[in-house]
Amino acid sequence: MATIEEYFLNKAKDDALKLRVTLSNGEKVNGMVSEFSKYDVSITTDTGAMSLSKKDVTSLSYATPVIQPPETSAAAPGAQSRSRIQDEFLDKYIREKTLALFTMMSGGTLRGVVTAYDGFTILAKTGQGQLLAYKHGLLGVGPGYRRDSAR
Amino acid sequence: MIQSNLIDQTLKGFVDSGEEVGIALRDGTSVKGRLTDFDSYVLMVGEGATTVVYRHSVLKVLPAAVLVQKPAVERPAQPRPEQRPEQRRTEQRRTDSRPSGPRQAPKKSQPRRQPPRVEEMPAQVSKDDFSNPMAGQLEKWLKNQQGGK
Repeated sequence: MATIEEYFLNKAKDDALKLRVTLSNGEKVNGMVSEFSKYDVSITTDTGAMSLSKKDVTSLSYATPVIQPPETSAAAPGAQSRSRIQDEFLDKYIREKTLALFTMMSGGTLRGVVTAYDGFTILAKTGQGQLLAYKHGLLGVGPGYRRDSAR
Repeated sequence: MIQSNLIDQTLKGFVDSGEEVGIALRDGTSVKGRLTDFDSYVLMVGEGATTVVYRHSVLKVLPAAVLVQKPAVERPAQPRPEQRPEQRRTEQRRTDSRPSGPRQAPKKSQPRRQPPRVEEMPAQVSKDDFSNPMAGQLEKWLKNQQGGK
């Protein structure tokens, strides 16, 4: 059975959706998913095709919902990650439909409502549409926290 | 069951004591708050409105009082690269001819470098190399070396 990530990427690939791909350096690329594997994803842009390592991808988004999240996060295959605390935290956000602040490793922030998650990604509804964020690209998730910039 | 290690023991100490911690993140920012819980992948910070901080983004966790902004560290003066005698003389000549400017005079405290051995000279030195001023100095130095043998 597919995880949220696989479900999202397959749907985007089948429907040839032009996703907005955010990379770990903050760069944004618009393109269609042509192929993806366990660790890589190929994006076809206007300028050509590019193969990206998933570890360099922070998030994928589209203006309208790509997939319908499962009714409960527990129903999502692969949702039960090895992090009990994280699962309880995200379940609470899904249940209460709390607005969450996603802080990216690249420094940007996004606000959205968590709709589903799996072991490696979080699906959220934002002002720009539907967002699939990779956990490895996030600093943290919260209602917003005090940031003391050391820069 | 969390595998017990030094980091987890430290984090458990913070959780048990309830003291405010500062978490320095990889992007240069920091988060302050009470550590309420943690596991292998995340840290839970704050009471009430808790925040999940992923451990892969954490640089260090310290008591909040310790995590302060450090002033810019003044790097110690880098030692000047060792120069050949003819280069030093050329530079000194240039310094003398030019009006005083931002260039600093060579420090007298620099240790005097022994002239390199002849074996260290580049293997390929063609006659064309002697057409420029630097090569002229090189030729002079080579003659001095050969005369010293």
